[in-house]
Amino acid sequence: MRAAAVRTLSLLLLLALWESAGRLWLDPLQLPPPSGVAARAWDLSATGELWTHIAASLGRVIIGYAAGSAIGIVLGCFVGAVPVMRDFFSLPIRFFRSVNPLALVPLMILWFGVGELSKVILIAYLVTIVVLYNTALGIETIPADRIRAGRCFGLTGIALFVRVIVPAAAPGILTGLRLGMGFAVLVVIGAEMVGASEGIGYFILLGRQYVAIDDIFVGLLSLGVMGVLLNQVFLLIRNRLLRRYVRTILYRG
Amino acid sequence: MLRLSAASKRFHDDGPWVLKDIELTIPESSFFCLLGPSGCGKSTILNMIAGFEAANSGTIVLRNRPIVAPGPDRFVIFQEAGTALFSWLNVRENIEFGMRVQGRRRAERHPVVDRYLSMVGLSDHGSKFPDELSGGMKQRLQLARALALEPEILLMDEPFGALDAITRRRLQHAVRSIWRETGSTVIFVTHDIEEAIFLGTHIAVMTAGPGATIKCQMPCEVSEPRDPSNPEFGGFYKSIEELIREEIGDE
Amino acid sequence: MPPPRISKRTMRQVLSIIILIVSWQFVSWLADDRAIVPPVQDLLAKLFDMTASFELFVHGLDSLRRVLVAFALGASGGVILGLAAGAVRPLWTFLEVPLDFIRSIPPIGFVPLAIAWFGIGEFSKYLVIAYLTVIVVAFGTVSGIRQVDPTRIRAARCMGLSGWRLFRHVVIPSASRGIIGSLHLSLGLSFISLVAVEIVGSTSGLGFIIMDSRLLLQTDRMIVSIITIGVLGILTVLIFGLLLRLLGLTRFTR
Ligand SMILES: Nc1ncnc2c1ncn2[C@@H]1O[C@H](COP(=O)(O)OP(=O)(O)OP(=O)(O)O)[C@@H](O)[C@H]1O
Ligand SMILES: [Mg+2]
Repeated sequence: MRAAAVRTLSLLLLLALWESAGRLWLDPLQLPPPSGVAARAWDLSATGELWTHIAASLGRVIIGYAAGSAIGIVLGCFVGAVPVMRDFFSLPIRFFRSVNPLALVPLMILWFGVGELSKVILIAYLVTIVVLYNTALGIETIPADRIRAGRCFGLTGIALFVRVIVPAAAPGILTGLRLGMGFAVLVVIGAEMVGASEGIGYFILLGRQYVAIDDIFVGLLSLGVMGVLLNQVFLLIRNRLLRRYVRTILYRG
Repeated sequence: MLRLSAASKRFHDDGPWVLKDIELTIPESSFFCLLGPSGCGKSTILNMIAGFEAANSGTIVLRNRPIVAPGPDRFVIFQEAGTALFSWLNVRENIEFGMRVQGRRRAERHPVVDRYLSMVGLSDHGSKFPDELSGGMKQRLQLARALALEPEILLMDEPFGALDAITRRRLQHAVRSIWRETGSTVIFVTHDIEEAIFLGTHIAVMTAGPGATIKCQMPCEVSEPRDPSNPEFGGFYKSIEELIREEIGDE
Repeated sequence: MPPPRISKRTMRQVLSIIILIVSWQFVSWLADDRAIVPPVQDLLAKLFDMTASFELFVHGLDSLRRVLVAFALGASGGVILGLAAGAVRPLWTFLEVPLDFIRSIPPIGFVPLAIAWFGIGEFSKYLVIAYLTVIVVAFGTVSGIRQVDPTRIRAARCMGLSGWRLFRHVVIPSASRGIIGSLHLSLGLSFISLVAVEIVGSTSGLGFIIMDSRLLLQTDRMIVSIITIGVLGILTVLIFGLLLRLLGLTRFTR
């Protein structure tokens, strides 16, 4: 309770400091005060411009993320559960994981053009790799006795997989899904800065070209809010709907 | 009757034999205790009977049928209850799990769950999750989960090794009375001689590995009530301790 | 003595790499345009060219310098901030929310701002790479301090330690596990930020070459640079781990 009060106070104080810095000491064109940024954000959302960019970025993220996580989970189950596949995939996965995600942006644009396709493919690819790796890891690290217990119930094959192996690997799968979300947002902004005509990344870059620093701030704040909201939604789903599967993470039990 | 004949096991093609020519005859409805030095291969024998591991040679036969895979007629109580229980199911659901797998209807399942919950004294904890239970409660839950399937054979791998003396004694009593009620066969691995004599109708002692065998197998006919302070109990204890000491050497 | 046998596992791994290369060649053949999907021999030739002309070396060195300088600055800043905030709780209550918000913005977003404020010189690049390290390491340090087992602190108190000496001899070593973990993490992140600054506004470095190759449609040059950055990242993290071990710091990660 007291901590919450201090936090709120800290935010207010920070805003006040920033406001007075922008008004009193520094050029407000260089450091636009919060009031200016808020006014600009209001204008941009009233004309719908801001929402167009947010929707463009969010749409790309959602499509690429959905595709990537579906492929990643299926492949990850396959790799984690079949020892032969593990051997076959371990080095390729290590290679793809070590490729810098932003470095791929120009390559994807070169291959698939500046349209939506390159961005969605890039996001899907990155999410696939992260989810695949963490799903496989989650399955590999299930204690042997837990699977044996499942087999004591007469479970084999797909039934064993669905009823025991996937629930037991859920913490790993969810870790992958969460990391994948971060990659998706990172790389969509990169792709929009390098080649796009809408999206928050494009909007921020535009702000720099017109030296409209308040626009850059609006873009960054939208990104922050988007990141926080996506994370909150993720945690809400995980900790409410899927709580029973992540007790080992939440309570270290 | 469960019979292992000349069963041998090694984990790598040209590795050392862990178990060599194991001969064991486990009568129906017996409480069979398996004693042996650490690392000799007790868990491995249990895993072979359960069907998790195949023997490299020899046979394991249950009622004239070779054991090839795990099945709900043999249920293992694992040493680490925490890993064996399903952390995403609460106490009731853990017990119910086996019946769901068998496709039994809800109305049928619930009375069975209630019965076994109260048998192991967890009636008040049905909606807790395994991570909210103490070590002894977890082990009781594992027991209830197994019993609900009414397996013919219960395989227990040092189930009480990590518990305090009082909880341990209580669970030993519980297992013994459940065994009497259900008439199932219990194969009980332990390194505690007193526990073996307290519980068993039969005791087998293994040699030290590698290439461990069964050193001897005998009925345990100490008169009831079994009490460590009883001289008959003490004498039997001494003779078994002697057998094991021969294996691990005196230090 | 039987001849040394190659395990099935190793054979499969070798096979997997061969399959990967063969599929690449196949895709290259399908695409039917060496300029767009260059086959492996073209990539190797390009690698040779770029090594011979010192292009890889010069730009790789630029990239490496940026990461290392920024990481060193950011890591020191993060540890100092984290230790201060761990020792003085109100400071952290004050900083946690804004820092957490900034952390949730992808670093590439800050590149245009840094350029607008400080120009496209090295300073703005260091800043973008370092700021995330500061935050990540500060969070790691604070949570490391928070997670010190209270029993250990009580034990130290029994030995007569208190105040600064308690902090210095027990709390910091206990928190080192968290600190070192966050250093590893942020070293990896630094490479992502590096590419961010180099593809958006830079005239040198491997990220710049990648962008430059895009304009000139030199896919082979681009792919060689992408792989070089990856290799550079792996090596740096590896050397960092080695360095920690040499300095005897790995004892804290146990
Ligand atoms: N999966 C495995 N791979 C290789 N060796 C194994 C494996 N499992 C067990 N062993 C070896 O087999 C031997 C017997 O192991 P086992 O676990 O059966 O012993 P145990 O009698 O149950 O010991 P304890 O009383 O300590 O539990 C040991 O030497 C062990 O190293
Ligand atoms: Mg064992």
